[in-house]
Amino acid sequence: MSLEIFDRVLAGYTMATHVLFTYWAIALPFFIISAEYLAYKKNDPYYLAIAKRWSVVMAVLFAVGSAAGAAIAVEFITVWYKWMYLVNQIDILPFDIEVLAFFSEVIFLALYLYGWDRMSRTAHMIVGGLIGLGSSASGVLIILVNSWMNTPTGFNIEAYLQSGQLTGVDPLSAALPIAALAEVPMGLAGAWFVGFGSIAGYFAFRKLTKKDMTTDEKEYYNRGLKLATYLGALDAIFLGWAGDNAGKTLYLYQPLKLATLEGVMQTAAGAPMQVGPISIPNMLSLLATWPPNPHATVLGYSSFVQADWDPIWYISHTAYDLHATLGIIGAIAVWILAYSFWKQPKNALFKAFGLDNPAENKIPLYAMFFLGWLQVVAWEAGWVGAETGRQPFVIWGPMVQTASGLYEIQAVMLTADGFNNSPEVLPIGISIMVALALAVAGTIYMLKKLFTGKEVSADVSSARLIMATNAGGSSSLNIKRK
Amino acid sequence: MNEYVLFFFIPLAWFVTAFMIEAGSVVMIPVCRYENYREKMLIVIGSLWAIIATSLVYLVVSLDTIFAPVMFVTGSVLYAPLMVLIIMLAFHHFSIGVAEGSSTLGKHSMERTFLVLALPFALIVAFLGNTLFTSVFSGYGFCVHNLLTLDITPNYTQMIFNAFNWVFFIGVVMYVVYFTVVFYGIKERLLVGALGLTLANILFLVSTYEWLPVVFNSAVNNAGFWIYIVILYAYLYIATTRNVPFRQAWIFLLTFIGAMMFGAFTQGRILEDIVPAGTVGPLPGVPASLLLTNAATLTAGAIVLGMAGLLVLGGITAVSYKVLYKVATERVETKKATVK
Repeated sequence: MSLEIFDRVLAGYTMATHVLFTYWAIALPFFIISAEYLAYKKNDPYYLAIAKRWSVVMAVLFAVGSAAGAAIAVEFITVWYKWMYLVNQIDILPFDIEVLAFFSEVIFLALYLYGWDRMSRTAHMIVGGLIGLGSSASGVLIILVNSWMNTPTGFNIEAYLQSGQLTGVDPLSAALPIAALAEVPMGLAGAWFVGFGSIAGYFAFRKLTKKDMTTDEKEYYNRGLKLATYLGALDAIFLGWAGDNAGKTLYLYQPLKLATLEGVMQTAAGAPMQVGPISIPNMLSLLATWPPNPHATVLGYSSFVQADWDPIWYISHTAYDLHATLGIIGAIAVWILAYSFWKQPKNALFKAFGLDNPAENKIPLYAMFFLGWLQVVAWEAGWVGAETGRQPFVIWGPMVQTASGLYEIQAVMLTADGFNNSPEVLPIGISIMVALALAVAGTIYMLKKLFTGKEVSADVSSARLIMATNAGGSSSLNIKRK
Repeated sequence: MNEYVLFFFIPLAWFVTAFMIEAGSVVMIPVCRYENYREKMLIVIGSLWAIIATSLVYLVVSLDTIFAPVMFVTGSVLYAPLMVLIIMLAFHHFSIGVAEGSSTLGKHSMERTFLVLALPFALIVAFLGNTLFTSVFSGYGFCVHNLLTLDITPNYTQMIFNAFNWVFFIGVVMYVVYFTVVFYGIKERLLVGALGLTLANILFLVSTYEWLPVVFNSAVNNAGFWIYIVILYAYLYIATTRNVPFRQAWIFLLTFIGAMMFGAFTQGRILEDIVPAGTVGPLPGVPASLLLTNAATLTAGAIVLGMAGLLVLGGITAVSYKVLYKVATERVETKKATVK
């Protein structure tokens, strides 16, 4: 394996490990404070038990996620240091602001964990919301840098391409690149959807596999399942718009990347959408344009110089198809399930699929389990599609038309020019990959061990006691209570 | 010295000082046989790890923002110790995270096991950090082919095993002994603390005299430096024999000031032992200001980093530490009351 390939694999692996935890960091706070809110509003100890147990999960996952984040930050300055040099010179501002967001996340997480019964309920929920705000902001800010790599701005690109000199640097302009219009909503909506989907998948899994469930356990898992499904259904509206918007933005500002993701080899008016072996006529033109135009011209690889074709376009296209397919099926499923929870429809069609009582019937539970966890695959596949779809460039550039009529990308940096070719990177990089794998496996094992002997019933009983005390008593720490 | 170069020492000094609290507990847990102090140390570590993690992020991002061209050094010379450091940090984070989760679920024996497991990794991180620090300031481990184009290759044997690295690291360890005695107010170890401080001072002065003459000359010719040394001894006595309000905060501040003083005494010079005086200015080494990011990005970034320093590190960290520490102490008191 060449060092260029290894460096890409290493960065991809570390990023994939990091994003495996980031969606939890972004989605879990909102799930937890929703549960906490419902606990107080309905005087329901089950929701309180959900909030308390899942806040511990959030803490453990945060620790490992931030370790992977630190790993990728160090890889940026060691393995991809040539790229990082340019980022530091032009687009470091989002990273600087992300420090504030990360701090907020960490500090408010600590306050939330230790603030149960030590601050007012409203203050506690606000602190929980601030965790989510911090983690979401962190995600947005990092995505802004990724967006800049796709549509670089904030410096004199032409001068840089001609002479290699950096001039006209405007960090504020660099912080808000046009590709962010596509990436930021997609990243946020996706993170929330994967988070809520996988939480629902977990509760469904427990309903399917736990034997001799007590009443308390049943009520606990049912509520968690319902809450995660409702939140997923809400976010799916945002997700649907975000996905559509991303396609339209790519059509306008990065047509070569759209061609890679959609596997468009030939420029065509009325371009079809290709999903695996299925070709839907005119669909890509229809979806990519606004107002919708089924006869619009979509640029394919045939309109670009061959040197700019993504050599691994098939990986990007396949990953993107997987991502979109799982996402769309997941969104439709979660809407149906949310509707079923809400209305408990009794008509024959819904009953045939067990949707008259989705928390108790096997078909909807299996659907939630599989589709919920498949959203993790969708999430990773989306990032694989996006990052392999940027090749052969690590920082894109303006699209210009050559004398032959073909388009070319005047890239700021090719991937081949950005990697670290020191041989020691290989053994140390492999060690990092092993360490991260151990950390992930260890985290899953430790989460299981942490909750061994910590039955749901015990937490529900404890929550019941807390709610009974709060109804009539006062805090020994003299904190205001509602 | 350039103000941005001096500014960089703020996140560096902050991280080093915060990390010393954790590293100090590694040193003192085996030395201190008193259950009273061991319990306090575990409480502090459990409260502090998140602050240490965020301080490291602050340091790395500050480095990126202030010294963009340094990427060619981190990428071509320092990449190996940096990458190994991150592996150690991953295990360290994992252990601490599990300990925190155990603590919240009331599994105290698991909490203690994983906190103790995290500490050796903390020591290794400290050593690697020291290696990076001494290498940059001295130049040991840097094989410079062309300074102007930053054509530099690494010599890891020299980087790790040079005398300056080890003498300075032992000096740091000795200072950590002193720091920990003062931080926890361990009156039974007053003499150990004094010995630690004395050895640290000797080792720092000897190593800088030998290998960082710019720092040595700046320090010994500065009255403030000697006053600071006297204050350290005086505070050792006061903190271990009297009940000092905000004892921990004072030693934290003193150490932070000491680290900042070191930064000021460098006069912003790096690679002092491989770039002779007169090559770039009258002093040995190279001014770090040559490696600054462009002015526009530097100005914008410094404003945000300054906000991070003022608002978050100063304010929220102190508040959250107070909350965490207070809660952890309450838990210990409750446990003791239950046992009785």
